[in-house]
Amino acid sequence: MQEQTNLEKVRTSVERMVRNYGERGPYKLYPDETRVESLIDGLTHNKIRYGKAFCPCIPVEDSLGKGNSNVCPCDAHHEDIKRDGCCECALFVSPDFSLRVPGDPETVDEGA
Amino acid sequence: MRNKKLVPGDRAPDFELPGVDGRTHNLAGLLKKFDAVVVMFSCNHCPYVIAYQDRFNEIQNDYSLRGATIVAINPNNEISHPTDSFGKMKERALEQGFEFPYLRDESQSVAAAYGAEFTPEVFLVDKAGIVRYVGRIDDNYQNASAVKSHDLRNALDKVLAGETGNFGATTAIGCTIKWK
Repeated sequence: MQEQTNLEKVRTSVERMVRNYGERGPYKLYPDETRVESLIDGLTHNKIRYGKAFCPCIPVEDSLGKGNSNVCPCDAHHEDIKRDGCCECALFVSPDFSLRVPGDPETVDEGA
Repeated sequence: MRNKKLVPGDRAPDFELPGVDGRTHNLAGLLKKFDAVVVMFSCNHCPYVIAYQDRFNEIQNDYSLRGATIVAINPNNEISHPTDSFGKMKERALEQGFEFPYLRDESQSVAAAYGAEFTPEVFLVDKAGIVRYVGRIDDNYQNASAVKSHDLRNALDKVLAGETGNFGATTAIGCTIKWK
């Protein structure tokens, strides 16, 4: 029961950070709630297991020993979003990011 | 140029790519041998892929006997992610005992043609070359024993039973493809 309580507590804290940054920061959250929730779960897992909310899309062994560089929101997310429209985990996206709707036959120029 | 993501009902673009087994593989050839092909965009470095590796092998073991195969395709930029190089792919396939083709999409053109965005992300293709399911493997990447929705397996069962409907599109949970 204690473990469950701690899990919920950590998840609430991680989720608050993510949603606050998505609402008040310079970027938006990825426009698919399933993905956002899954990434919050991954961040929570890392926070509980390693003490820091390391990006779940980066191998933890690459994050350990790099201080807070790969703690969400990570150092690289500004450059990633500038280049790709989204961060490495696709949690935060640029303000003009739009989900590529499946099935639309039109192509998009990602370099534009 | 990257295409919009394929959806169930779309025709799967053919491809021809080198595999870690030293052979060149193409979708048309695989569809001659199998009744269903799981085109799975994957890679070496992504923690989500690593979490799913045992499940890749289990699905391959379970379904190869029934006429289906996985074909894994790694489109990631090896400059930014050196662990995704072709050499490292060969090592990973050996270490993990992959019994399915693991192909290198160096130009990223196949990932672009499918509109793939994540690793792992699957496109289930039936014998006629039509996409029948797109998205995730299941609903719990962290814990295989806690999976409630076996999305890919469910779709495979339907395709191999001869059903011809479209079996859904789900959100793939994984790392973004590392574009050049």
